[in-house]
Amino acid sequence: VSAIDYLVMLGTLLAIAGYGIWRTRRDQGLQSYLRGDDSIRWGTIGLSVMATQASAITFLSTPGQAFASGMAFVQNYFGMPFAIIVICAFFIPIYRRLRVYTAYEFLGQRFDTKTRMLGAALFLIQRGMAAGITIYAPAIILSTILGWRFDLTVLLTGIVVIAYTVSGGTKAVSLTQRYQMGIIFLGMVVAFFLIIAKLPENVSLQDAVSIAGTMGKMEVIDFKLDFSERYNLWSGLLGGFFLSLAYFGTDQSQVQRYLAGNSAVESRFGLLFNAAVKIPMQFFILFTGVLVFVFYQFEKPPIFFNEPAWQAALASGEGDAFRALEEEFDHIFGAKRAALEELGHARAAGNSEAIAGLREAVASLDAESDALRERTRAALLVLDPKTNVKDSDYVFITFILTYLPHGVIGLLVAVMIAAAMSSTASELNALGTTTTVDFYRKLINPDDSDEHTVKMSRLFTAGWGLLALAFAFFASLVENLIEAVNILGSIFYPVILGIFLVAFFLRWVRGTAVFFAALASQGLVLWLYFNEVVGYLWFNLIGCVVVILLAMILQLFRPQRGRWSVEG
Amino acid sequence: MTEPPPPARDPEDDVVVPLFRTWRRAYLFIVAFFVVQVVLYTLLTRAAS
Repeated sequence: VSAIDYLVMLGTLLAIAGYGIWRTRRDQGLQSYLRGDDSIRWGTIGLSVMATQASAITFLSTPGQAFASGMAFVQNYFGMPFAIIVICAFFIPIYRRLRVYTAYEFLGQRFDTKTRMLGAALFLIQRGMAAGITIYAPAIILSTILGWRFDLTVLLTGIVVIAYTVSGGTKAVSLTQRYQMGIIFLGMVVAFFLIIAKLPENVSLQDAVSIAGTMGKMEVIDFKLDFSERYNLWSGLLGGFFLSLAYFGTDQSQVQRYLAGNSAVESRFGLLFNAAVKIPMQFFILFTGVLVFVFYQFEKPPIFFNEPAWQAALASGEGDAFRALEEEFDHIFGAKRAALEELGHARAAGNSEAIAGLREAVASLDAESDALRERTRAALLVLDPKTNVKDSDYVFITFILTYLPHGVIGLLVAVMIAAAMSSTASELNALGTTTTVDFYRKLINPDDSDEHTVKMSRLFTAGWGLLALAFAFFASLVENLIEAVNILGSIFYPVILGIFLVAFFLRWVRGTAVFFAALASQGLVLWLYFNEVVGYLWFNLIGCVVVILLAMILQLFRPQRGRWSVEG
Repeated sequence: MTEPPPPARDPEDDVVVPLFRTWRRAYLFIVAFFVVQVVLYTLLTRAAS
């Protein structure tokens, strides 16, 4: 990383943060600080929702995921458009009509104070921990690979985010996210075209797709209903639907994004923009990863992408064994490249018999190469059980640093950090707002002036920011980060979603029934987690269904008070 | 919080939806766009394998 990279990176990131602070420098009222103001239109809302969801991990890990397992991951997002339609049709009109600041405030109006507190508390616990991981995840990868100090990376990223989120509130978050998304789009498009330009001269985009297909990386859609397969159309539609419904419908870090702006039209259009654009965007990021994979069929990749960890292994007492693995890897790579070149000639000559034979040879050599990588990971784990052997997170950044020109490197590192900052900003903004609206203003000081409430909200946002920083410093104990975030989500989301589904669709069920149903369901999910009874993805179904069923049963034994309606 | 109580019927219910005229058509567009993508991805999967 050169001086020009630092200039591009710091210039971009600080300019956006500075812009956010400058645009919101005048004293803001409570409404504007917590909910944004009327100047926020659907385009900004749409980009803001997208920037909140796309964390640094999206840009660090997703191309690496395509490199390792192909395009199938895109199916995970298939349920999202449908969930967004449900939110636009049923959730937004009620949130808007009740003029709530937080999703949990709605629970207070629909049920009672205790259910509102429960929903808000579950959100604070889950999001508070996730915010730490949002900062930690990119910091550990970037500091490892760029040789930066981890603590400084976490501290600098965190302090800049805290500064503009605390100072400008929701409006600053939305405005900065618009430009952060701009940088992200620009960076990814530049990277995409540079990768195409880096492919060998005789390999066209069509050839690249065909090569990736030969090695099983272009299986975008899988129609088979197979519960053992991680990604297929059905799990993506069903699982993705419920996950998106919980995330976009009930998570304050998202709800606050689309409740900014002055009408339901802006909110709905902002969300529908995401329903249309998100899947193509994920496809594009994954496809970028596939192109990196094709590039590495002609340019020798490292056997293990976390270079510092690999160098440490070579320098250890087992160094010779690792060098032998590397030699074997180089040998397979050479054979595979030769076979691919022959395949190219056979294609040009239209020799279908040779094409079929060579495709088989290439696929078998690729499988051999994968098996060798797996053996290497196992050996690295034996050497040091603490090694993070999931090196796919390092693939894209290694490619960027090794093959892209200076300036672009700075731009792409800025993309990763901007993504981390935009997600963290939404999280802190939502955590601060929920603490203010659902706890401080409800329980502690209901008669507080608007002016003082803004001050308290700033204080809470800063407090959550510092807590997230502290959590990021101690998060190194968690081995697999994305998984940790997913597990956290799977433990708390389903119960919150269950409460909201009852709230919207079972209007005869009242507060006490849903409150105790939610407590019981949360207890059950925690018990399932600590006793490792089922895989954590099942919590999403179990937690949600148990809340709904139990709430209905409990309500049957309680006095009926008629259906709830917005008008009361 | 300090705001007036909500009106019984929100004037936004009667708003004309830009581009699509009704929300139902906007939602149908999203579903249709999704179906088109699934078809394209399926064709791509078949062509590349």
